Amino acid sequence: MKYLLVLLLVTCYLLLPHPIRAADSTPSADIKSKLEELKKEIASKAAKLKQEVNKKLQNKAYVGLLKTKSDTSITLASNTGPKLISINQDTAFESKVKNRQKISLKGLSEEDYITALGDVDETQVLTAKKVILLPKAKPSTKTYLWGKIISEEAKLATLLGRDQKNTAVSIPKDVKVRVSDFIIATGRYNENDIFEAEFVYVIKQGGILKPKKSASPSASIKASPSLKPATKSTN
Amino acid sequence: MKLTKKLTTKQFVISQVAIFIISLIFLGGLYYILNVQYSQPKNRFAQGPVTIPPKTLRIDLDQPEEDTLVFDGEIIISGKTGPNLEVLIITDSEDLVVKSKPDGKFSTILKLDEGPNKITTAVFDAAGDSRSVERNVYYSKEKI
Repeated sequence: MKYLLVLLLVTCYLLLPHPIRAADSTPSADIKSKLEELKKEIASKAAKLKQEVNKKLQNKAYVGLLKTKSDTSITLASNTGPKLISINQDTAFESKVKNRQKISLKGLSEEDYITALGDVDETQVLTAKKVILLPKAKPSTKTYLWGKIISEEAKLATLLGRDQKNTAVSIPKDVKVRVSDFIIATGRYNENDIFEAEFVYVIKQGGILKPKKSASPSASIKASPSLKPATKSTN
Repeated sequence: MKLTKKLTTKQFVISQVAIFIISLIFLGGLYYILNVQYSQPKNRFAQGPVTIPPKTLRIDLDQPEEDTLVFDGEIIISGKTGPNLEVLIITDSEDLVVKSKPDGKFSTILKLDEGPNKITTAVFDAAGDSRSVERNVYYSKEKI
């Protein structure tokens, strides 16, 4: 009887309608706040990225020789290729050339050495805020050398380079170098082909000069006696 | 072959043992092929990462960018090359040498002349091999 009663109770309980708890259709407050945080993070990262891109496009200067001009644009030949400059009514013109103080777009002519300062767009066209006429620059002849000093007398040294070539180098008065020093020197070649050093740096840990590989005698080409000069046969 | 033939207890036990032994041999063989014959070294990364430093000399300049306009007479030159190498930085009026750090990074401050500046950065290795990179920077005292 007792068992029957228990069984009946269990059956009744099972037959009772149980409420079904469905998953919420709207995100919980926790997820919402996380989403908001994520949104803010993305927005700040995007703003930073935009700032960096703008920074890269702002404050640019194109320097070179004027090739073509119109009322709205100038084309320059720069060291890194042709550059397009956009001109508008706000563009200011300035001259650093003594005998041409007042200039305008009309006053500029082909082969003038100029610089355009402004911002570039995504297509690398510079919108000029200022165009400056510059004195014509001589091509820079400054260069550098690396090598080992193999002799030195009265501030004139002989430098053995990586290519096993000797170069006469005039050492500045205030610089002390010794034979066997490895140096890096900057300067210019004079008319006598002597490198006039302006700056000399002695490499403390020295260097390695590899001797050039010379062809062994067995590798040299020998003309075989049987070989005859090629002649064009004519019929 | 008659499948309805009744097996004796002995035959049944032998067949079961035979199936078990054959299965063991098959699995053992499979294990040998996969784990012993084609085994991979366990401490492959014990000596550090597999990547090796580039053998050719190189230089990457982070700053300054090409065609930069600056309003300050000094500029930061920074970049990356091989470790502990001499990096020469020259303009028409300035010359300096800095040594790259063990991680190859280098950084210094360079004085600029008013107007256009061509900055050449060159790196040398012990054998005198060199690589160089150029940047054109314009220094204007007046802000635009």
